[in-house]
Amino acid sequence: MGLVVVGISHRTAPVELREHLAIPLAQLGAALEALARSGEARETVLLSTCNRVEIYIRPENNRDRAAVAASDFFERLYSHPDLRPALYRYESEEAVRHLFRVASGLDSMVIGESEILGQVKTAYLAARDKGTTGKITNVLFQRALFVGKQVRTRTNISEGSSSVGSVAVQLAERIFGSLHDRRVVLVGAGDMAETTARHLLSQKTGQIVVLNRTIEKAEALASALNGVAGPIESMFDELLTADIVICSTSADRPIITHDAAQAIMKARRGKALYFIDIGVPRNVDPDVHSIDNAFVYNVDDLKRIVEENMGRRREEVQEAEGFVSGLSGEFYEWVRAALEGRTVALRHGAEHLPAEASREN
Amino acid sequence: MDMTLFSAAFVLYGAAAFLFLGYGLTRREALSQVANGGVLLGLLAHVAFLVVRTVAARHLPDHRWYVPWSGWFESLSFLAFVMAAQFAVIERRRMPILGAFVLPIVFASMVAALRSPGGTGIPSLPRGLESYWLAAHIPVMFISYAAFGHAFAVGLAFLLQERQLKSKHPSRISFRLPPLEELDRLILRIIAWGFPVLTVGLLLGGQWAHEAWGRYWAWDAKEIGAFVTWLVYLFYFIARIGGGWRGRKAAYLSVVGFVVVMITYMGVNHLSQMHGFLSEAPK
Repeated sequence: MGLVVVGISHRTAPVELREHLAIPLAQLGAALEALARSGEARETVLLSTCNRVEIYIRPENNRDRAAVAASDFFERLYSHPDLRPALYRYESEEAVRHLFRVASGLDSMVIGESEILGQVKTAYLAARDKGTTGKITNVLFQRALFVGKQVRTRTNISEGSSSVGSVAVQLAERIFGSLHDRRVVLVGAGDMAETTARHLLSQKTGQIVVLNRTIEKAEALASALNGVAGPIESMFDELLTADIVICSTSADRPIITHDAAQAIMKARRGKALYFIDIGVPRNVDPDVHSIDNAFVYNVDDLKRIVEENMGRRREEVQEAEGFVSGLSGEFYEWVRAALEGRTVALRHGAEHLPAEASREN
Repeated sequence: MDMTLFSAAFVLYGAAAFLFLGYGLTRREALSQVANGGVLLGLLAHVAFLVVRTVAARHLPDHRWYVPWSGWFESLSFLAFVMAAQFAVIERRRMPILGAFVLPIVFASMVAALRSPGGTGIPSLPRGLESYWLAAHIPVMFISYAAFGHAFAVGLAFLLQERQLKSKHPSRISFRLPPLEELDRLILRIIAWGFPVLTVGLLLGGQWAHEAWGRYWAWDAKEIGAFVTWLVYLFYFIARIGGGWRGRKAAYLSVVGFVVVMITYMGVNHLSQMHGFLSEAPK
């Protein structure tokens, strides 16, 4: 009776081990069927990401036998002496709390990251479509998604971005607001530039222009990003209409000097211009940042902001943990009641939760 | 009765100002909703105050043309009223965080009203000025002043956001404030509203001066002050639209403009021959 979870995660196993156990979405159905064949699981959900593989089971009759079935399942995927010690197991209320912590990003490598919430949802929907969920797991996973969202809005656990690319985008939003229709110019076609540009594209920016010394590289990246390519010589013309400029050339001296930037800003009639300088050595003279309405952030600036954000998130962990514990205790009461045939209402109200806070990104 | 209503508006604006500041510091959305409610209730009390006071005053002798913006107390209260109303219309829903900048100014104006030299009684109207122009020129002027006070508040928010982004260590404050370009556009829009109103107010004033004193313009200290104000905001438009003054410099202008407004409004009364009536105590 009750609930049990058996799994492996970045906390207990290195990637060399985890990668043998990860189950691609396409094979999730077959894996769920295999678990069902053991006859020990009445309801099953399988969560597999690059950082964790976990099997949530409502046992058919015995918790221990269900847990053994799950361990055996892992063993069949990849038999290795390091596997057994890396597996963890939580039961009953602890299992609920674990899932809520996972959904909240508290167990993630990057605290508070939000990708995991989507992965939990995908895992749940896959199991539901396969018909391996039931009364308990349906409510459990829907509740976990609810808790994951609540924790992120009611604490600052997800505040600030956790990667250089998303910090760069967030700063763009502090300057321009909506990035819709903003013109992005890439000077240089490096990998980092592409990553950052993709972050911007996810915010539905306007046109992307890729400039590069070898036009073929510019064209290749432009077609990947759905933009247009141009020769590096047209840079100053492009800067007149750009809003966001991502520089990533390997030039050994700044390609945008203070004087050039001043002339550009004048020609732009002071319209705000934001340089994301990921070139090493730096492509944009740092003094350009002192020009009115011109903003220059280089890789080190962005990395430092990421560090500050992560520090702030860590400060929020305790509050989030308390919040998750409260909700998992309450939920487990519901599970117990449901198993005994009683009904207990689950509150979606906010009276017992910390005050609401807005999302800021 | 009227002072009870004024006190209600006073308390409500004050509470809203503190709630907006709290909202800015804590990110509790509920605070901004309560604060917005406070502003709306304050406006309601304020309208009631203006109506009740006008009805009461019009029974007095020589108050046929009385309007509730005749003395120091009344004009400062009216300034607060218009500024709060502008906030309710423009930002209450879209950018409630700006309440943390606008409402403290609204409240400061209410405090200044209560402490004004003339007291809070219904003033007697200066001789020669009992006319319908009083009902037109002064409120139009105050609507423009309120717009400039509003632009000043948004200008401060802009300068704070700009500092955050230039510091390269944007803190939570940066995420609480609206984006830089939105603030810049908002300042432009508010001044684009205040400037024509100021122009109309000056024209009405000229017409009134012509009827009351026989001349349109006398280079009286207040008139000079108003003219300088007009020039500052004219310059803002030329610089902002034509000269590429965006960002910090344009925001500084919105701050400086309101300082000139305040000097014109308060300081110059002591120097002004024709417009000094606000400085007189009611008889």
